[in-house]
Amino acid sequence: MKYKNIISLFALLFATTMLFAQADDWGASDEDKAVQLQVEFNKMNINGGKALFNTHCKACHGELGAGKPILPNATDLGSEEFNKTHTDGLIHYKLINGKGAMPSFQGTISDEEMWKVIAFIRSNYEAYEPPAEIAAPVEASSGGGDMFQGDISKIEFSVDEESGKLSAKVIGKNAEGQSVLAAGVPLEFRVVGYFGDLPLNKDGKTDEKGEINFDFPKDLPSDTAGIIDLYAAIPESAGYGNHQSEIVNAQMGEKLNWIPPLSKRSLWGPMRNIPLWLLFTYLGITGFVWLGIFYVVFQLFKIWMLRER
Amino acid sequence: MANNSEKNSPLIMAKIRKDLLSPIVNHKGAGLWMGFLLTGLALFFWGYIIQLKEGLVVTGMRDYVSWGMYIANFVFFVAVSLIGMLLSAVLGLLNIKWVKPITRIAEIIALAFVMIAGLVIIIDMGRPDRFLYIFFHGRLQSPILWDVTVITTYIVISLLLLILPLLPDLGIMKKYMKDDVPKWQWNLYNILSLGWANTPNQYKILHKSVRVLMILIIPVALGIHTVTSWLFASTLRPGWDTTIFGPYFVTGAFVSGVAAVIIAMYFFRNNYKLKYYLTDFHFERMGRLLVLVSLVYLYFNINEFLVPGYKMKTMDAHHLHTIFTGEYAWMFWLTQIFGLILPIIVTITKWGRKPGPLMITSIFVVVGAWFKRYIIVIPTLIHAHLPIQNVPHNFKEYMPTGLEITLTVGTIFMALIIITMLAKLFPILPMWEIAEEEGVDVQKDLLK
Repeated sequence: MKYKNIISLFALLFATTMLFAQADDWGASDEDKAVQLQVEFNKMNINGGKALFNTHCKACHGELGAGKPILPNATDLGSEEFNKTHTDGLIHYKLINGKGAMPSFQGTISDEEMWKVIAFIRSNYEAYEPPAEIAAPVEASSGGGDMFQGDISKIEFSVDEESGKLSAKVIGKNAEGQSVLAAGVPLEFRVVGYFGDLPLNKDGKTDEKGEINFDFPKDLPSDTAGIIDLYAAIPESAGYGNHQSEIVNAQMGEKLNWIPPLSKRSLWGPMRNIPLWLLFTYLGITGFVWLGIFYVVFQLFKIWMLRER
Repeated sequence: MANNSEKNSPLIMAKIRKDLLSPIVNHKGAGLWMGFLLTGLALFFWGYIIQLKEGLVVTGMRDYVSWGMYIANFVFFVAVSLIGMLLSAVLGLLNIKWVKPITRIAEIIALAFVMIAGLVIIIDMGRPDRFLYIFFHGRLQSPILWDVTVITTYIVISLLLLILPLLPDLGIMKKYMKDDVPKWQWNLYNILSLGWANTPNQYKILHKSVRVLMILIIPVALGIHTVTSWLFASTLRPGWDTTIFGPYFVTGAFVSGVAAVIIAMYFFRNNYKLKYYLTDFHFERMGRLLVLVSLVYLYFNINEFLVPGYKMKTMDAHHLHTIFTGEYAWMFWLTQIFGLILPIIVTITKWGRKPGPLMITSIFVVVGAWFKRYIIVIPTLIHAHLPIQNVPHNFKEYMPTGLEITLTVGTIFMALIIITMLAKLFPILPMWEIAEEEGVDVQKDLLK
C-alpha cells in the first residue's frame, strides 16, 4: 500500500514536470527566434496592429499590460516578463503555428498584419529597441505605389447605378498640412448589413490619383425596395484610424422578393391568419358540443312546461 | 315479488327519505367542519391579498420555473374532475348497476374540482385583471385557448349532469321538507325542481337528456385532460415533448379520481350513516376499478420513462437524471412506489378492497397523484431551454414559498367547501334511482 502511494506520487510528479516542460516548448528553432520585426516600427503600423489586436487577440489575452487575461491560461502580452523572454521572431512563430488553446493565425491575417500586431505589442514595452533597418521587409499587398504617409481627411465615394461602377477618391493631408490625393491607401467597398457589413473587394489600394474603382456584383440581393446601402472605408488595420465615406442608397442588385412569414396562414401567426383546418375543427367540435348543451337546456325548459299547475 | 314490492313501496320510500334527507336537516358536527374550512379560506384570502399587492415575486417562481406549484395543482384538479365522466357516463352507459349510488358523489367531486381548476389559473396570474385579455387577444392557434374552451364546456355539462338526475329528488324534497328547512332553502328546492311533477313525460325527457349528456361528456372529458396535456406536449422541452402525453394524463386522471371518490364514499358512509346503501360490495367494486385504472397508468408510466430512459438523448438525459437519481429522485420514486405500485399490490388482495384499507390506500394514491403532477411540471423547467449566461442563482432552482403552499392548500379547501355545501343541500345519493333498484315504481310511487 505504502509503496503504491509513493510510486503514484512520483508518477504524478513526473507527469506534471513533463507537462510544464512541454508547455514552454512551442518548437521554435533558433533561426525562427532570430528573425526581427519586418515592418517599420512607426505610428501607422502600430495603429494598424492595435486594430488587429483588438479584433483577434484581446478576447483571450485582454488589454495589454492590464495583467488580466480573459482566458486563465493566456498570457498578458503587455507584461515585462513576456516581452523580455520573447524575440520578435518567437512571437511571429507562435502566431503562425499556434499551440493548444492558442490558434494559428496563418490564413486569418496576412504576414504583414502579424508583424503589425507585433509592432503594437512592442509599442507598449519601453525597453524595446526596433531593428535599425528592416532586413527583409514583407511584401506589401497588391496595389499601386508607396503607401501614403499622413492623415486622411476625406473619402469621396460615388456610385454609377447604370454601369454598376463604384469609385472612391481618398484625400489626405501631408506632413506640411497640404491637401493631397492619397495614393496606396487600402480601401474597401462595403454593403451595410443587419449583422455586420459585407466587404465587396479585397486588397484594393488607391492609385497615384488617390482613386479606386470596383465593379458591383450584379447578383447581390438588395432589399425589398431594390435599395442597397454602400460605403467606402479604410480598414482600421491599415493604421490610418477609422475612416469611412458617407453611405449611398443605390438602386442596384437583385431586388429581394420576400414574403413575410406572418402574412400566410400559420400556427405561429396572428389570430386573423389562423389555418382554416384549425378554425373549422375548433368551430365544428365546439359548435357540436354546445348544440348538445343547448338541446339539454331546452329539454329542461320542456320539463318546466310540464310542471304542476 | 312485484306485488310484494308494490305493497312495501311506501315503506321503502320512507326509509330512503329518512336515511338520505336527515343529513340535510341534522347539522351535528357540520359547523365545526365548516368552521375549519372557512378558517382555511380566510388564510387563503390573506395570502392572496399579499400576492396581489406584491406580485408573483412572493412565490418561488422565477424566469426558469414560471410554472410552479400552482400549475401542478391545476393539473391535479383537472385530473380529479375527470372521474365524473368515468363513473356516471362510461359505467352508466354500460348499464352497470352498482355504480348508480356513487354517480352523484362523482359528479359533485367533478364539478367542485373543475370549477376550482379554473380558479387556480387565475391565482397563478400576476395580473388577474388581465384575465379577459384571453378573449380579446387570444389566438385559437394556442392550446391555452382550447383549454379555456373545454374547461368551460366541461363545467357546464357537469353542472347539467348534476342537476338533471337531481330533479326527481328535488320533487321529493319540495314535497316533504317544507317544515324541516328554512324558507329560503325550500324556495331553492322549489325553483331548482323546475316544477317536477313525476309525470311519465317528464321522465321520458329526463332519461333522454341524461343520455345525451352522458354521450357528450365522454369526448369533452377526454378533451379537457388531453388539451391540458397539450399545454405541455406542444412544446419541445424534454420531459414534455412526448406523443403519449394525452392518454398518459387521462389514465393518470382516472387513478386520482377513483381514489378521491373512494375517500368521499368512506367519509359519507360513516358520517351520513349510509352503510345500507354504500356497502362493502361497492367498495370492493371501486377497489377493482382502482386496480384496473392503476395498471393502465403503470403501463403508460413504463412507456413514458423506460423508452426515453433507454435512449438517453442528450437533452432528455439531463431531465431524466434529475428525476431518476438527482434532485427530484426521492419525490419521483416515492410517488411511483407509494402512489402507484404498492396501492396496486395491496388492492389486488381481497383484504385491500375492504372499506378501511381501501380508503387508506386511496389517500396514498391521491397524495401521490398530486406530487406526480409536481414531478411532471417542475423538473423540466429547471433546465433552461436555451442557455443564458450569468443567470441569477434563484432562477436555477425552485422551492415553493410558504405563501404559495398556503394558497395551494387554500384551493383544496375551496373544493372541499363546494363539496360540503352541495352535500349539505342535496341528498348525496340519488334517492329515486336507489328506489328504482329496490323495486319501487318511481313513476307511480315516488311522490305518494
